Amino acid sequence: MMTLAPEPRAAGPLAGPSDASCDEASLIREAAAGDTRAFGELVRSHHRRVFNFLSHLARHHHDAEDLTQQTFLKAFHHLARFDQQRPLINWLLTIARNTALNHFRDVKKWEEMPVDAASADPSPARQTEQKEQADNLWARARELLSPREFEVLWLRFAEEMSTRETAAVVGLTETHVKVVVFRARQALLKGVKSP
Amino acid sequence: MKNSPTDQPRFTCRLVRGGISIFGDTTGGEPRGPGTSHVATCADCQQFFGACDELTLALKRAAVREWREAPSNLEQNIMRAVNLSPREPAPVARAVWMSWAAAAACAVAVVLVYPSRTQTGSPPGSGTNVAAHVDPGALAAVREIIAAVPGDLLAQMQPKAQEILQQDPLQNEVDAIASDARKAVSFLARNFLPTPTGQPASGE
Repeated sequence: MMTLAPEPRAAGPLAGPSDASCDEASLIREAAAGDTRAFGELVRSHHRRVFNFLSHLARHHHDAEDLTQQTFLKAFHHLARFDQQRPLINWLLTIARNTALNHFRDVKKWEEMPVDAASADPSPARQTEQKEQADNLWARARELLSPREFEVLWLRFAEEMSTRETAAVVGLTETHVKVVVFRARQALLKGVKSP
Repeated sequence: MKNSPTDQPRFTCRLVRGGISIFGDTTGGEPRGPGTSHVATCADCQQFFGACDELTLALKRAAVREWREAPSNLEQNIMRAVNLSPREPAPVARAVWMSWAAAAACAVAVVLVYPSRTQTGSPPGSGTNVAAHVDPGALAAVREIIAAVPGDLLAQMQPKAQEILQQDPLQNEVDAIASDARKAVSFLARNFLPTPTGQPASGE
């Protein structure tokens, strides 16, 4: 389950392939004109990262799969509106987040979502996996932080986005993002010290 | 500079930690921003920012371990959905269509206005005899553009324009103002303009 991404990484630990970035602009132009082959290349480059992001937001594997599909469908239809000054992945993650929020419109529902149905499986492998998850900082973060704090922290440190990029994805001001990060780090430090 | 036994950071420490985290820069090494002089002398704050750095690093490492692999058929599923979904008309296409119409209008202006001006006898050397300097090749290209524009272009555009005008709130507002103005003029004319007998009709 917790396998590393097979693709090479550029900027952050989860950044996409850098050698594709030079061709990306032309692929975007072609895809915006309706070329599905070019869009297929963009899907190939980015679908893993979008899925990973969504699976941390949505928890359920199948939800993340559906949401990833919806994200790329929306992207395909609105690619002509994409501002090429921004990295494509940031735009895709913005769509992914909004799609997830629409899907789980009720935040309470989001918070109360049970973990994947597979977690009921008491097999030793599953138990080991559960222990690993409990030891994992991000699993702890999900327990301790609000969904907003979690997603901001994920974008800042897992996706390694700048404050400005994070603010653009979640629709907050840069100062608000810094406040959320500050609070989240404080809560997490406190929570890690006293489990 | 130790905190109180309750292990709660002092007010100054809380203020400085928040100030630097929000208005300063905590990325990479020493924290920078308002209150750094306090941090330089406060062991607790130094410890706090050190712990923040460690936490950030740990989160980045954990994110790599937490990578969730996409299902192998996800890419195909996405592309199947894309291929099955009807493609919305791209706004670019409309822009190209409108630019062609604008080009055709310019071309009509060039072809119709300049020859008629040159025939009205402008003095030679005055600079108005532009058609004489127009490259025949360019003129032929313009004529080709005009010929390429569909004949019913205006007819296609007209219903849309009428529809837009009918729904246009600004147009409705202008109509309402014009109606009010007409009523006001009518009122003034009825009451203050002289009648055929030479008396203003203000007594009405």
